[in-house]
Amino acid sequence: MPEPTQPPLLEVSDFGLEFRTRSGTVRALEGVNLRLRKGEIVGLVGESGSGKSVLSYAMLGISDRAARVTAGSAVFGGLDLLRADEGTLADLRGREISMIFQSPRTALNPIRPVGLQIEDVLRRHAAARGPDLGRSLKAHAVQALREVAIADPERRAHAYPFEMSGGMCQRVMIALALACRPSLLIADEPTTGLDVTTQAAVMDLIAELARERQMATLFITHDLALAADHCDRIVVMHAGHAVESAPSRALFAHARHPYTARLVSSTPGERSALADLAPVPGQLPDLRRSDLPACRFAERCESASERCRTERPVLDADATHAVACWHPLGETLLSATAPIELAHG
Amino acid sequence: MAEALLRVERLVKTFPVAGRRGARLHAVDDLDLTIAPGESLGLVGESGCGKSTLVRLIARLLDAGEGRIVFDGKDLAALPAAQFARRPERAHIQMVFQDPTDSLNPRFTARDTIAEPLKLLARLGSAAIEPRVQEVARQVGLPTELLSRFPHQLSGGQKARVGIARALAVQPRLLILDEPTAALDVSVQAVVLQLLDRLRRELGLAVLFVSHDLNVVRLLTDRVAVMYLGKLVEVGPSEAVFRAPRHPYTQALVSAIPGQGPRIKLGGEITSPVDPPAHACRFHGRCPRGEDRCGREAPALVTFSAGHSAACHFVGQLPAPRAAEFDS
Repeated sequence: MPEPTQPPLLEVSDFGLEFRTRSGTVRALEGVNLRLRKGEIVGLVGESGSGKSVLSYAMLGISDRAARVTAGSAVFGGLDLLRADEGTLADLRGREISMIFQSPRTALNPIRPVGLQIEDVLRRHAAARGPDLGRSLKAHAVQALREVAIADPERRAHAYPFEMSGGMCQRVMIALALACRPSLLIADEPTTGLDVTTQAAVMDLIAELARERQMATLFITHDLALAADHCDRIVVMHAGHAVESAPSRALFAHARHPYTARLVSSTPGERSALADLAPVPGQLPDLRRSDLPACRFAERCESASERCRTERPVLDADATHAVACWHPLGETLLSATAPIELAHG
Repeated sequence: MAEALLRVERLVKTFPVAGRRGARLHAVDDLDLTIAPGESLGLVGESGCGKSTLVRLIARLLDAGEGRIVFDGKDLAALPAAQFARRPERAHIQMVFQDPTDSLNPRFTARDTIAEPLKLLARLGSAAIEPRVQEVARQVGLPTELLSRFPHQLSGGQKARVGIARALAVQPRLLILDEPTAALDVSVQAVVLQLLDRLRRELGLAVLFVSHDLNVVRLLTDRVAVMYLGKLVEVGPSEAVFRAPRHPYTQALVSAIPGQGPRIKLGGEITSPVDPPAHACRFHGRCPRGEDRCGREAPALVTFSAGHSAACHFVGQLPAPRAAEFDS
């Protein structure tokens, strides 16, 4: 499959980030490569603690104060987000790049009606969006609520977050993020706690905006099946490394990283039986350790070798199906269709 | 069918609506449901359809408006929720909450958490509590050396086990699981699901399992009940409901499970749960099958095959399209 020739909207290269804490330095991200094109929906999957949220916070310039960028760049429309000043980022946030946060209960202002919270975002960026908007802020806010399938949006606009269910708050959060029609949406577990029909409606809305307005979406989730359904491409993260990047179907059908394969087999599917579900062995390594193996999956991996402990495999973010592994799975299977060099023999 | 352990009859719960005098939000509306001893019943439906209210009514955390909640032959709906905490029946109905982090007291060790219901409900002598705590910890696969840890010193999966152990400590007969794995990673979820299934079989527990993850519901339940805006729209054996859903809403729901074929998209306006029209199907307006009749006449639950019922005027005519799709 040929890659589109347009330059990526977001290009993260060799991104490293660490947190300085009292109990040591947490090397939260290392050598992360990621590409996101206009209109593309890319899923970012992995266990909690794999660095998915840390990565997205860094894109918005809202990292914790203990965070320090150690390497790399994240170029968005010619601007390196990792080095941009606060004023530039503040103008981008909410307008060009917006985020759906994981827990709507804590992300929404508890003492402000939800309609007004949406108006706040619209007003903040109104100047850049034409004079019409100023007059119809309220109508826009109600429309934003209607778009995320909230029944009776005129009435709900006056509600406070505590008056709404978790699912409703989640939809408000989404309405808030999409209100200014951003060109990059970072959605951190946007459908957690939503039922499947609402989940599907939310993902449809995101897909529609992706198509119509060429909005790119970085979709963070731990639900592989959901990502496979709605994302063009999936990037798998493990312990601060991006370990595999592939078109969604290919990732499911031919997972090449041993970690991806484990994740796939632990996900309940349409036909799986309870006994078939295989957990991923072990736990994420402690990222404060000074003796972390070069491949951070090495200690949980059955096919790990000495090379995995000393030499970090790098993900080629420009390849269609890339894997950061010295011993990827299914080599013989794939070598029949694509010439892939054998990493060991 | 064996005598039901739990029988919910014509249960109604409405809430006042702020700023609108006399208006009522119908969270649970004239609902009937049974759970047999040892049976696992799934409860699914959209957020806001009244699942949580129903669960809180059954767990007796909330007072019912009308109707009966008959547990083991006794009507619990008559007991005020405020008094229920001190009733012996409290031990028989236990709940595992959604988020293992939020639902554990951060100042309690795992041991304190598991011992708490024993102290309050089991009337065990203080010497008998520790052995029971250890026994339950073993049942849920929680290493006993972790019992002296606080929640922040435990992993997500370990916290989930503490929450399950707390519920099991007083030997309940009905266990209510409210999204027990929603906050867990898939890697851990698999283990917790297998644990729940094993415990249910070993202890002969009846389980009411609430979840948005329909793949998980299918794996863990014998029967499944589908709610829509306070009403039960379909109930039947899980295998049959997932393979051949009969109510148009269930069909849309099942088709929306990620990782499978074409999805039925629901358009239209959602009926407001505030004073919904009494003589209309709640799904009318969004239903792809809806006709004028649905706006005039609310359908009743009709049983069309063993234990499988749906509340739709067209249930006899609906061809169960998904079954055909799967078979081809």
